[in-house]
Amino acid sequence: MYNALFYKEWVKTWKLIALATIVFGGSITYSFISITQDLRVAGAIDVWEAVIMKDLPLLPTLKWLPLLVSVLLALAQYVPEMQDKRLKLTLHLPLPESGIVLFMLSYGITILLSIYIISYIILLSGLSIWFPSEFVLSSFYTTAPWFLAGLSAYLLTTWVCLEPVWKHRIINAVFAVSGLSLFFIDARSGGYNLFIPYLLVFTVLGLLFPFYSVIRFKEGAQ
Amino acid sequence: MKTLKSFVYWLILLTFTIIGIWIIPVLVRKVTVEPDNYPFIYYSSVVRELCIIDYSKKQAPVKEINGKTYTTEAQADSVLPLLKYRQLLADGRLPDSIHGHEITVQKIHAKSVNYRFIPSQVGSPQPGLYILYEAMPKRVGMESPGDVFRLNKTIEFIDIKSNLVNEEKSSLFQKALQKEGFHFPAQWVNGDMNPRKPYDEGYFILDTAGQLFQMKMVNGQPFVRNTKAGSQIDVAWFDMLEVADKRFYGFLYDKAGNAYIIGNEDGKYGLLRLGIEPLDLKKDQMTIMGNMLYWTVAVSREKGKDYYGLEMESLKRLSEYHVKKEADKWDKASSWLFPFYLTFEDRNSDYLIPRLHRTGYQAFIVNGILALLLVLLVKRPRNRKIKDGI
Repeated sequence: MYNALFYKEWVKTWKLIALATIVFGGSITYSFISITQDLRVAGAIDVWEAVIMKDLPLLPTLKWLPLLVSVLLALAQYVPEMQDKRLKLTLHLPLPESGIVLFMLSYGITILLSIYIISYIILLSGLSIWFPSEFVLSSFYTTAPWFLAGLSAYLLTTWVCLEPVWKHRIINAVFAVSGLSLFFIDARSGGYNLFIPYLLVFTVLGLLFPFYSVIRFKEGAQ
Repeated sequence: MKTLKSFVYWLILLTFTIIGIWIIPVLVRKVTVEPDNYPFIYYSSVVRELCIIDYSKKQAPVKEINGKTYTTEAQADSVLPLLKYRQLLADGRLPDSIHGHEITVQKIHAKSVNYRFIPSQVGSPQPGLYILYEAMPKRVGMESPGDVFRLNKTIEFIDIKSNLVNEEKSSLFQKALQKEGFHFPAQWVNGDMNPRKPYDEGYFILDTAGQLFQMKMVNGQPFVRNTKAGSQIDVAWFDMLEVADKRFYGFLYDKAGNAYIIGNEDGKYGLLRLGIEPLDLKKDQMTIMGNMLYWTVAVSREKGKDYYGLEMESLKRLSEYHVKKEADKWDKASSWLFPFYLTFEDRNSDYLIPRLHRTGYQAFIVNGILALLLVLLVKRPRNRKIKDGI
């Protein structure tokens, strides 16, 4: 039965996953092209000095990408479920309801984590060819909130989509945007180092929010 | 399911209440915050007193803290010759001497000190990599050395073009540090990486034993010396300032908040304490405007701003003045609207950390009244059960 559920989710989302993979691949490629151009034109010395003295970011193009992909994935997964209340049928499968919801969420999170982890490995490995470990680690800490924002946005978008009442959807969306702004506060490199655990806690808590919407859906809230 | 629903409901409420405690005050602050309106105060070398300067006040552009005013711009300029020397020079009124001290433009430039300390310098994220310039370059101007160094359990120089460790140079500096008694790892490394400076004095490094060392590169060779400052004070922080007359290397702070200049006296490092009250290194900001005779030091604290006039040679306190902080629109608004609020950013630190701020009890009263009104005036929706929900 979980195979069938997996296939259902795959049918809804495979095109978006393919697009996300292409976009991430393109963005990573562009980042490397941009870095090699700077190293070639300005010189390695100028680039290193700009990073050290002026806090020049090495991967600025990635900032909004994880968030965008995760919101689109959540919409692709759950908007069809809410059309004509098709989620009713999904919840009627001979499986525990919370298990069904957890499986659907896990599907999305696994897809996102796979894309993010592969991207991280490629990016950080590539950076380590031209830059010392301090720059690579700094880039990791700078981009970590953006990728966490992606996971959090997926869970919050799911929470909004599965809410049956439009008025509450709007309220949930306002809450979601305010929560996601935690991940995009302007800070210099390293500024988020002590804050990442709090972002992790917020992201993990977000895993429970969609269950509330599903329970309200089941109760027929209007 | 009911238990789960109830649990998740309260979790959502708690989470977004916490976020609300942060984001709503941020928005209110954006609308209400004003800059601190402290006066500009400078120590006059002519009248030997702190003077409040505001050229927009045409009737009294300069006023001594004891009340005496100077009613014209020309008079005001004459009272502050070391601040307004360009105007006096243009008017042909720059004095030859002040209280027996010869005044020339070259001397004014040579002895000029402009410095600012902000708490976010201390304990802010460090890049971990530093550029060590040649201290005695053959040509004018600082040339990039083509490498950077890191100082953890050992010192390593990394060639920028190859991204590889220069083992020879690293070993040379490692031996020099060990020979001088440096205990690895370093607590911090402070210097001035800006190449736009007249000379380079390398870096001041605090080792794990609390000793302060100076490290620079002279003709490609390491120069490492223990300043012995760690034996005199409990060193907290150092800030490099390359002054034109090379009188001192920079400003040193101890853990009690006392500020010193550290300079070279006959081949030995000497500390000279500034005659000001100790700073809170996590909260207070300090600016210094120094000239050839006196230094004007301004310290912004939580409750107001302290101004000091110091004698240039001894840095002894000659005069002081305090201006109390006045509540601005944000202070007033927050004390009435929010009994407490959360911030993640702080002007005194580059790290994002949750910080809870308490305001006043009056906000509890206002919020209590609003909550009561909400309960009385807003109708509660009737619980409607849908028979054919699912």
